[in-house]
Amino acid sequence: MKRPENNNWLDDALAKAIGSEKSKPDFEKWKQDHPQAVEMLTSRVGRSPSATKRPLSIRRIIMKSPITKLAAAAVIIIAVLIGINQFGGSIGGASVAWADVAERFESVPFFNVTIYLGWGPYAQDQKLEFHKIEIWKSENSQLRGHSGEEIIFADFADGNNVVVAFDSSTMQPLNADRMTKVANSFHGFLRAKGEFSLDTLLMGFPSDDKGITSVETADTPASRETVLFEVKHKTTPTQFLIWALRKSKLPVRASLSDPKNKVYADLLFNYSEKKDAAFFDPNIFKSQETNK
Amino acid sequence: MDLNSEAKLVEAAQDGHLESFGALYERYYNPLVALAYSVLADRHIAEDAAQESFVVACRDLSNLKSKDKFAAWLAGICRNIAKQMLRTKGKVIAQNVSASAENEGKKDCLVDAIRRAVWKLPTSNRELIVLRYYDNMPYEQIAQILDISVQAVNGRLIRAKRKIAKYLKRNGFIGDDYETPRKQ
Repeated sequence: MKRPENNNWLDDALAKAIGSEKSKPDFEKWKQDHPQAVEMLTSRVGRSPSATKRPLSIRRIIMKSPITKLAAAAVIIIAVLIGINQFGGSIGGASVAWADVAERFESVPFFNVTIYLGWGPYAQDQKLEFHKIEIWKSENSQLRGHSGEEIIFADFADGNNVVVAFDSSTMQPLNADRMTKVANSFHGFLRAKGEFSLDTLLMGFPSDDKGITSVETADTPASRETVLFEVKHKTTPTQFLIWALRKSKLPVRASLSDPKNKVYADLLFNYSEKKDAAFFDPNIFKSQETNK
Repeated sequence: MDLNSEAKLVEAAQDGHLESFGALYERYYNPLVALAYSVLADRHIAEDAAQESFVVACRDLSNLKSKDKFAAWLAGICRNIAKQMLRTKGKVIAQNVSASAENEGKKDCLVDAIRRAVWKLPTSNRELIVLRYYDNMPYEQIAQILDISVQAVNGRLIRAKRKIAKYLKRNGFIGDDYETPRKQ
């Protein structure tokens, strides 16, 4: 008895059932039908990657700007979130799936994100530095963040622009200089949602200088549950990866890699941890401060 | 296929040379149609998907770092576009397939039963079978497009054919010896 795969009749029948007359590829006709694509491709002649605009790196944002690590995390989160929202529906092959993710994320009332931020080493005697940051968003667009001993409250609901930060070890507000820096960075980034483009926010990516694609992954139990998107700068190795659940369409993880500047971040999203209003109320700290 | 020359073609296309992109178009148009067909089950729409894939490739080509993975990268684009088309045109396609299946049922023909068996396969198996038999594509090219080894192509193909044979046996189209088609 022959094994089924060795039976010629099955090969013949498969070829008959599926086989097709080869359609001849006609590149000339394709060129005529897609002049914009042709223009897009040919416009690159003579343009070296080094000639293109270099983005402001995240490292520069983190290391050279006078902002806290928590605010740096905000940069990353908002970059990812705005990335998610701004790209909605605009991706070539994967627009439907991406649009679904963007739309679904927009509808989430609250979430918590844990960020593992790493950078360096920038010198031989330095080590890779790590920092863990947690941020919660309420149903009313309030934020609370924990970064080391700093706790920050931000409220942008209904046009509010309130940012206050405390040192959790002393229960005291941060000093004025520090507070101003934190507030400025939060104002700059969190209010940006919907007002600024990713160009101004996300490392200065020019709008036509980044690409996003859905990534096909090996068929594993995990890949059957999730879909992976990649946001990549075209002239640098900077890359965002965003994993979303196929079923709920919610992003569950995002990963930033800027190997050139040695900055990395891993973001884990959680949608089940609803905090009550008091959690987002900085007056709890203020009252403790008064009681002292 | 000379991968070095393909990498050079990709590099030239990334630099904006249309002729090189044209060569890649000529090389991969039919494989992409086959790949899209495995998703869409409609040859005309599959051709549209293939053409659209090259539009996206034009736009995103500069993102591609591993030039030797061009085929797999392009296949990924095509797969996404085909799935997107399936969502937007899915009802029409589903109706066509359904009507076709009904007619096929009446004719009770082995070839038609094979088509049904193929479309019952898991996506990865179906892609493989269609790539292989749509255009008698060599294993090496299938391996490139699916980004797997030639050995994996062979192994998966065997398993997919076994599944098809079992389906045919279950439905009385072939005997226990897997050798003799009963109905034609």
